[in-house]
Amino acid sequence: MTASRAEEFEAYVRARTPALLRAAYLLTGDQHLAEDLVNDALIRTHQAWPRLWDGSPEAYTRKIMYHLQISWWRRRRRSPERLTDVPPEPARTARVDEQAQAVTRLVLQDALSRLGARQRAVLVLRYFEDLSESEVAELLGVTVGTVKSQSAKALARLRVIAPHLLDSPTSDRKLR
Amino acid sequence: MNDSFRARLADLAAQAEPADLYTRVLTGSRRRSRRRTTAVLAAAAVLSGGLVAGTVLVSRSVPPPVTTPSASAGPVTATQVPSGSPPAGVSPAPAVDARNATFDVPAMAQCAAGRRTFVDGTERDGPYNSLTVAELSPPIRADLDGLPGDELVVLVSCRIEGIFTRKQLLALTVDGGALRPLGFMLDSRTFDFFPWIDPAQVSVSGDVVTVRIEGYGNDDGAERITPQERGFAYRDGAFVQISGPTERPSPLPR
Repeated sequence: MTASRAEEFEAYVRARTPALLRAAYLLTGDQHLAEDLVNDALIRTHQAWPRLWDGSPEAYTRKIMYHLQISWWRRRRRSPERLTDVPPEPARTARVDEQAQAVTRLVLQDALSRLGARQRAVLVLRYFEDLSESEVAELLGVTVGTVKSQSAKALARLRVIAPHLLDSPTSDRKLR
Repeated sequence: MNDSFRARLADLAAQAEPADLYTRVLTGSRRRSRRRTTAVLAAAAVLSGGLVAGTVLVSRSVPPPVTTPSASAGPVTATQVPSGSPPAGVSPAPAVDARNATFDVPAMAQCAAGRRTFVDGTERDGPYNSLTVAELSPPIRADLDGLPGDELVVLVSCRIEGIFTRKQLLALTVDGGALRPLGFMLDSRTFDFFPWIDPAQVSVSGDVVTVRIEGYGNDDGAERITPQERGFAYRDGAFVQISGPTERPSPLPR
């Protein structure tokens, strides 16, 4: 890799890592796992950089990241630490709305961890990354039908695990 | 609600702490490159050893693939014929090495249709979605379409983004020294659940190729099943399933 391309890669990593970490955090539910996931995706991006740097490297990195996450999940085949049904006792000094927000985060994190890897990936791509169904299908290498079915299954599962995250049955239609 | 769910996801994602991964990425990339180099060197050493051993073996006898000659509709014979003494009435099959050949491959999963050149079973200069080809064990060569000329059955794997692999059985008509695709064998009912295909668990009898399936991949992982055998044959211009279960198999309890 030439010096200028190496500099471009460094600039790319420093600029895009925060956004990649946010998506990875949703996928893994853990800061360290998120860093590992982004790290591995960026390593592969670095190796492909000579043929990527003038194209769309971020799309490549994201694609690798989502596929890696599913692959890791298959290998681990175990859920991360499960939260109890009772949320942790909030500190008395915290404000009520902050407490509620923190509880919602924990519930959402737990609910996402109970989904299959692909279902989680579909939800994050659709509702966090704001990709269309066809874009999600292209990125994951599956059909649009699979994206729709995985999305529907994921939302149905979320409705069982944490009904208040999805306010009403009609909301699914909006989410599609 | 739509916005509220998105907002909750964004709020959760914002909990990720920023990290500078640049140095770690470079270190990991160099380590990965070293591992690759080591693996390539090891493979080259194994191959060179294999070539020497192969040369010695070839000088003695060449075990031919399992064949059903075009003129015969009977069951396959797996007899190993010593080199230079073919059985009466059966012309020796010309040697074809699908792993080192150029031929057309129909579209498969994310691997587009096109003329592909394989070197040692791997597509030369392939894109990231890459194809590999492997012969079955033992190799299967039989008359599958009822026309002059045998077909060679190979296992084609489409590797998607270096993560997923989809496998299909491809029948290639041996035309002199060239290979022409007759078609993929697994129809959509079987291929769509991504069955595990073991190259040692494929057999041929007459013009029917039987595949033993012991598991499959799905959206969330791999599943084992009670093994089942499905038979495929070339009928009216395409391969169709003619024996065995047709429905998607149920996974065994974990």
